[in-house]
Amino acid sequence: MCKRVQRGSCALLSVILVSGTARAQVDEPAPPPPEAVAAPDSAASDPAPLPLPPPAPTALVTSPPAAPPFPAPPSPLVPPPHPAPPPGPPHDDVTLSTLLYLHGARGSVGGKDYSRFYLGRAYLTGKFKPVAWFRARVTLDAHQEKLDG
Amino acid sequence: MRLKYAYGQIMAPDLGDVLTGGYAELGMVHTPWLDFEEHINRYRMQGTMFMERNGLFNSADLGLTAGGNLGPSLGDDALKNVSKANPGSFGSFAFGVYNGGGYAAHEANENKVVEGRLSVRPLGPFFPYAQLSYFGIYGKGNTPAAPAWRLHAGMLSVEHEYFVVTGTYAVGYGNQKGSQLSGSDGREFLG
Repeated sequence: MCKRVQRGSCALLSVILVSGTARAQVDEPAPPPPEAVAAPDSAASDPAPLPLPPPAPTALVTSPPAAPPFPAPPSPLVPPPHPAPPPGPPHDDVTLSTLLYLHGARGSVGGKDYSRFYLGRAYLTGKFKPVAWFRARVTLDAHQEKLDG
Repeated sequence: MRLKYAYGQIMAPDLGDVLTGGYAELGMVHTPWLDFEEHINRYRMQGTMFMERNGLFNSADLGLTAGGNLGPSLGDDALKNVSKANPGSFGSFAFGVYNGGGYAAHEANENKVVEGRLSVRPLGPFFPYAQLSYFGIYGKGNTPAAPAWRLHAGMLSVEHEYFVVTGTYAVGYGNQKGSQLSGSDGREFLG
């Protein structure tokens, strides 16, 4: 587990890579609600509504209304809901990610024991791709050159 | 805290199946070599790459980088085993002009540095795992005295599902910081 190195010291170095990504999508203009869709346009592309059933004959004796023989057809004034629009293309992404280099070490140097755990380097990256042919990136680099043991 | 990258990148349209995935970066950009090598050599998680570790250059600088792929992109099956960063069936390239100080130092002279990389897959899509790469630098070290800074490096790399092997040879004169005023050469084999 420990590796013998020069001058009798024993050291173990492990590096752990940690990364994470957060992703968001740029808001696109929301599709108009079904109610706002012009009825003539949708009516032109939709099948003609079913005819209403003929009115029932007037009865002299009041009785509970009978159940209709079939479900009422949809109103021609309210078009059927449109399917949800597909998700936006990937170039709409705004991405924020991080990459961390964690170090742990334990051993001895010159007869003096040490044990340490530290963040050796960290990157924070933001990416933005507003259109398919262009993207921008900014990466900040936090680092630690040396730590006395 | 330092600014490592800050650039805008424009993607170019493909020129048939010959040049694909073309791009140009302007700002604090990738230099041609290290981003390419780090996508092949997974040693990066333990430390810097061979030539960067010896102070010859680093991975970003203020300037302009352009690059692209040679041939169409490899298929999905091949891309499972090779770097997806430069997926040209016959290789890739990148070149640029930079201030020369790198991302960790201010520019100390008026000199501009030219760097270029060319990578080829000798067997194309039939064996895309092997690549031969050349990287060159021509410029001056980042000091007011501006000493010469030259580098020629070659790398043979084989990427596989279970292993990666690289062999690198570099020869040159000076370094990016301008602190080395002599020739240098080095070899590295890593598996």
